[in-house]
Amino acid sequence: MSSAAVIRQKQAELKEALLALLRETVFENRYSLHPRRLGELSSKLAETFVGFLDSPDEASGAKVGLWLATEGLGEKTILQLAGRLRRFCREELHAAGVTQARAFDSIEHFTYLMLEGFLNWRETQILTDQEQLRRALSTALASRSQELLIKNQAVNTSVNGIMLADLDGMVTWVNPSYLRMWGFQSAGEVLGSSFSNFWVGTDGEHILEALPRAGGWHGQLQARRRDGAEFSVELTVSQIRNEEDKPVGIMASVVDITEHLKAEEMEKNLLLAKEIHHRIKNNLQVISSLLFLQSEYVRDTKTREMFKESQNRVRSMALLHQKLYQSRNLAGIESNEYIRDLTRNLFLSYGVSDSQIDLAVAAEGITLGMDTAVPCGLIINELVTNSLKHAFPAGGAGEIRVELSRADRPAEAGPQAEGGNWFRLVVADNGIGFPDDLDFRKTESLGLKIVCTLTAQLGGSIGLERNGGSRFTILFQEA
Amino acid sequence: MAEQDKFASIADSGKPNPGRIYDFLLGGNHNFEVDRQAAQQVIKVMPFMPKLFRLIRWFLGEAVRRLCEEGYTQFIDFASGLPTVDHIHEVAPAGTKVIYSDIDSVTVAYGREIIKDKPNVRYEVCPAEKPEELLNSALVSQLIGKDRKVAVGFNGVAYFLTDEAIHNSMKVIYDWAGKGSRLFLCDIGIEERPDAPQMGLDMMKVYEKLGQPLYLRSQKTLESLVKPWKAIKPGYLPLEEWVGVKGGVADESKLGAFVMFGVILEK
Repeated sequence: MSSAAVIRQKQAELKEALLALLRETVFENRYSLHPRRLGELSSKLAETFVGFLDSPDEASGAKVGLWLATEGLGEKTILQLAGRLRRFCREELHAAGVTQARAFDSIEHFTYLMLEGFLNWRETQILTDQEQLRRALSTALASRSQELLIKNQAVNTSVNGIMLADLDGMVTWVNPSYLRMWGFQSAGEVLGSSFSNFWVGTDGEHILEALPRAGGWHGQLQARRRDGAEFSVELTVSQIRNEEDKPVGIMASVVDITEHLKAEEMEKNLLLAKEIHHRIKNNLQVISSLLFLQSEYVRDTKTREMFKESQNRVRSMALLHQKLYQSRNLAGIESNEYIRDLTRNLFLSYGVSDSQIDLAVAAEGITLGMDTAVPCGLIINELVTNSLKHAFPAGGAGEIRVELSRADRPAEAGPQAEGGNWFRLVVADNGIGFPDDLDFRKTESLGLKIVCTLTAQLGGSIGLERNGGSRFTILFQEA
Repeated sequence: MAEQDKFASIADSGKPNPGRIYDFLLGGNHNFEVDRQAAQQVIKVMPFMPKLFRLIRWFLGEAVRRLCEEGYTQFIDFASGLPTVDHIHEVAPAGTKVIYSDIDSVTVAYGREIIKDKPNVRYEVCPAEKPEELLNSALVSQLIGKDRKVAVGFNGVAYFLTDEAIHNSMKVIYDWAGKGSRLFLCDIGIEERPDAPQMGLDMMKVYEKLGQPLYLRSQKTLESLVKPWKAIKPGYLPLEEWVGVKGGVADESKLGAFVMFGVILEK
């Protein structure tokens, strides 16, 4: 049998020997080499090596080394493979009588190049992987730096005052909001001072004492500005912990709640005032009801009418208090809505329907304070009542118009009338008109007396036009 | 401390990083001296760890190969570590969609660098105990779309999670995944005997030191935790059997009380 034939015969044995070796060293390889591939690998290696023995080409050793490196073989494994290939030639083939001197002479060089090829690839791979790692690390660090920058900006520009201190409570950093709240010009004025110095009394010391035990503190506190003035804050103090969860400092976050507390106080007062207006309205409604009940016992029409008028007057005031407590704040009465409700009540009281007498109200955008709204409401009550009672006798049809608008300060107004807003109130109807011979200022009518008295009380003036009905114009200043 | 911050601090080559230690133990080059030193500490106490990690990765490759042969073309992997050689995208045919995830933002940054030229491969930060963060993300919607028949990898992480966390993750993934989806996972199984937990004590101590407690459980316990997923053939097997090697972890550890087993589950 020729040497080549013997070598071919031995190839299967070599393959099994290599496979056994690869199995033994399977855990020495890189994980990329899956154990299921060992058979394929040993077969290919045996074939390649036998090919080399058939036709020796030393340079092919480097290719084999490169190939085995890319397959994921470990250094220990490839050293053992090289040794096993040499032994195959020197011992096993020799024992089988194969003496191919040229190939045997080349085997040392072949395995040397195989190892060199392997190491070259490994070296290149290590450099490539390390470069990849370095780039990834740079990316991660850049991303981390950007993140830190944003966090730094967030703390720096926070509207909350933020202070950092060491575990003894010595201030190490404050943000601009903190300086602003306390009235300091620069961080240099506060750095190194104690956390306790910024608070009224001994609260700061107590917080510092409690912090290691509690880990944090949250509550309202009185703070003292640089100029000694006190202000209210909501304070959150927490321990800053490192990666090992050990405290390394203190962070205080402060919100100035002075305005918030004022607003809360105002809100409380507002609620209280609304409650009072509600009760006044209820009381006035009780009075109105009592007047109604009392009127039921009166047989005389005129007297009964007087009760009704009084009842309406009381109701006009009750309505004002109702509007007031229903408003968002107590700043004033929205006139348009008030006048509409007031006049609608009067229409109901006198049994007049909209289809009989048109009611037009124009007082958009006018808000009156309580002191002005009460006399103004009573004036409207009297004048509309007057129109309903007298302007349209025998169920005649027509229109009653109420207008309230802003007005210029009249030239004849005295210097004492400077400053306040002026208004024009018009109550008009197109009924039979006010009698020509009747001076409304001197009439015995209680209603018109009330109108004149209240106009005077408002420092206003009143005029009457009698063309095609009656048109009262009252110019007054907000009380 | 926010999770992000906790891990962002390891963007520091002066401190050992779990992802890089893992890479070294697998024979990789994506590690620094500090990681190699830390890895030597791990090996000193647990000489079987490099074998263990290799077995896990080989099992992963084995499972991916099987699933690809069955026609799965979409993979979502939790606790991926570095997507270096023989990870899912290297084993699966070109064009397979793969989404890796890891809790460690630095590992993810490395991972993105490694896969940056692979159009169907992505890497996101996501803790394995909160899979919903990844599954409900825009990234998954974009890459996977409405076809939720996926293969999910959950390897080398179960022993870092409490029973409750594993059960929750399994349930979340199950509810999200489409019918016919598969999940391949491996875990350390300890024998249910009174002294068994004591046997893994050294290992647990080392991980405790690294700030990562270890939770060892029996295979039976894990089987109940992965429900409603159901095991398919060949069922729960030691990883050595999955990949066809001898002389695995149990021999090396000389504990004889635990085994690393793997399973492929289906919905």
